[in-house]
Amino acid sequence: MTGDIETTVLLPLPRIAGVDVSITNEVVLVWLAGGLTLAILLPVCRRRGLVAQGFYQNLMEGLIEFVEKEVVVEGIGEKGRVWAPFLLGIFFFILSANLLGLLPLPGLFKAVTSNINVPAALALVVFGLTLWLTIRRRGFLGFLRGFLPAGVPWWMGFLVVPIEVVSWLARPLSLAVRLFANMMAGHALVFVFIGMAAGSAWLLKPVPLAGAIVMNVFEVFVAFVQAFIFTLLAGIYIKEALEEESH
Amino acid sequence: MNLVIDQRLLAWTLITFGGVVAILAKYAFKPLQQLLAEREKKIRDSLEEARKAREGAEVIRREGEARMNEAREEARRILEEGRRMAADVRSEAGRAAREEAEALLRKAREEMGRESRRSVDALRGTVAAISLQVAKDVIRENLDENRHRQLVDEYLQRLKEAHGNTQR
Repeated sequence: MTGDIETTVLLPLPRIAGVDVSITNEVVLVWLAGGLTLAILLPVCRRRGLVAQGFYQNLMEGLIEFVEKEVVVEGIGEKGRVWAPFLLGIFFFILSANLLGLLPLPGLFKAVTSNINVPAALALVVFGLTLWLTIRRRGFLGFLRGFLPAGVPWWMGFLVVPIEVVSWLARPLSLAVRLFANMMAGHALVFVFIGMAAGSAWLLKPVPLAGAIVMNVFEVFVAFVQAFIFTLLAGIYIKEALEEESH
Repeated sequence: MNLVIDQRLLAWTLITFGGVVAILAKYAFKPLQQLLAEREKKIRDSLEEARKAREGAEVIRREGEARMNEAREEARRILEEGRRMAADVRSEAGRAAREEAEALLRKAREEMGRESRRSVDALRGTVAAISLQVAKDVIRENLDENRHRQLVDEYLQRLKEAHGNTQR
């Protein structure tokens, strides 16, 4: 009882390079998340005037500046400003995907981030990017040397290197699973409450319903927090990739 | 639970997210970063202008204060000068008045002396003339007692008259 919607193929397409690219209802939700991200950010970012005007503009600019300051400037530093579009894109994409699941249209909308494939794709993007940055900065050998942290004796390598490799590989996994699990659990809990309400006696119905409402409000908070955590970790990984030493 | 690998969703997520970031980077963040940079510059410029204006105001205030002090000093100096001049004028006027009074007094005394001398000379002349006349009369006539007295009286009378004319 997770309230999940079934994956339905809406438009079957031929495989490209062996990859099935048919359009499913969840793909449409990903597009919606992408479209929502653009719909949120493009008008805000393209608006002119030196002073932010109106509640929406102020709110969005505040949000953009918050992410830029907390993740980009504080996390990576001034040199990380070039990564601001990427990190803000991640934040608003995940946020949009998360918030879509809160629309009260069961059966049509869900937080597409509660499907492991979406967080995994985003985590893979971050992983690939940090891998590319690391190799570009230190070279392939330098990248491999990073698995044996400075100061550790070479003969400890047989123990330290596997740990470092696993820890490095666990990054995308932890990124993906954290987002997926949090979004799925929140939704599952809301649907559990709704299911309880449906199955309870009339007199007791308000209790699980109130629980569902509280959880839904909490989900809004979780949607923001999870988007922020994913972005923050992505920023930290990029920062590490831009540094000279160690992973 | 959506834990099954779904190539479609994975691929479309990558494509969609890549597209979103590309569009944002080109059409959203460049203008936004320009805007934020402009805003930052504007704020920095405004702060700089405000700082300069504050400094300018401070300079003007100090200048004003300095001028005020100068003006006070000037006023005090002028007042002092005025007092000193007034004292000088008073003392000069007193001295001049005293000198003038003394000159007038001296002149009056001299005039009186001259008048007195002129009176004495006139009297002396009159007395001499009368004496001459009396002597002539005495010599010309043989005088008795009464006539002698009458002559003396006439002489005195003439002397009084002569003296009265001199004083007028």
